[in-house]
Amino acid sequence: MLHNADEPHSTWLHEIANQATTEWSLIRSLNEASLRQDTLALYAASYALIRIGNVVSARSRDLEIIYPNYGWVYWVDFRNSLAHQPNPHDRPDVEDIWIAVSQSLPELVKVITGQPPP
Amino acid sequence: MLNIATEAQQAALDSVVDVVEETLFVLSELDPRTLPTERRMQYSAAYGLIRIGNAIEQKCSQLEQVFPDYAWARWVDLRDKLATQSERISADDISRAVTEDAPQLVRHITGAEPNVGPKVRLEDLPLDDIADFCREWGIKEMCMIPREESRMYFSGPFEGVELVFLVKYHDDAPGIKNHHSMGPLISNAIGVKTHVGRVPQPDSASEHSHQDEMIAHGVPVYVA
Repeated sequence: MLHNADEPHSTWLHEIANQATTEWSLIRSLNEASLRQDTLALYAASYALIRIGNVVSARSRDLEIIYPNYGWVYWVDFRNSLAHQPNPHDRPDVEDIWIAVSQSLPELVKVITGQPPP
Repeated sequence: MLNIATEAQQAALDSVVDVVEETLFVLSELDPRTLPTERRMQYSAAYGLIRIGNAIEQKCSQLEQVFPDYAWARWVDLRDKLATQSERISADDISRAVTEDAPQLVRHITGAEPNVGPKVRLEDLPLDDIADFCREWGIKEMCMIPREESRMYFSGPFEGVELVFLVKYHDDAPGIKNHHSMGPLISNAIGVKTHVGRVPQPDSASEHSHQDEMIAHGVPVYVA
């Protein structure tokens, strides 16, 4: 996606890939068990994913038109669900977080850069 | 200041205090000395602050009626910044919100210190005494449940409770008929105020299957 993008799309994609890679470096060591057993880890992963949602959200409408095959809205919807839990007592859903950390996040970087995150 | 709250307003205040105390309980494991430099800790704290902002936003009109002078909107603004901006909020701001502002919020509402309570760790528990207790009452399996999770599943009351256990009994165990006494009894046995929840026997378990899941994710303290 990135190699044949023109400006400003190239800049946007760089921003998203950089953000995703930064967050990945912070949460890649987490596994499903740690997310279940360690609420601090669950919170940290949730906030990292919110931050990715934020940077995608800023460009998602344009990106959806230019690159309609990738589900940009997933990150925006996920950010919204994490940031606005209807019941403040509810914890983020561990399975959803784990799928995002282990699959969606590396896939996002790979889709943009052609390479999985380091 | 004397603030008279209606029943609905008091429920709103209690709900907010509950969320703040839960969040402070979770964040109590963070080391305030390293919070300014440890990014993952800051993330954990940031998400805790988002939760507090959510709780306040949902009850804001009722809260403002009881405490009109308190800056409730500040919490919602902080939540909005954390939840919608890519730029990082300063570590100092996050640290101050967690270590000063959130406890101060609870004091403002209740007039008392937050009831966060020490987090009892597995290594702090008298496991031999617990094993004796479990054998005496026919407990097949006992696990420790994080307090902030247990509030979602059990009705409480949780005032002063520092430990939550979930137990499975053997069939015909003496503890089944005396389950309501298990919390006070084990509290006396180990010297820590404890709530004991129960996984129902297999023939009545369908409505409580989530508790089976909880026991799988809890920290085992006794297995027969």
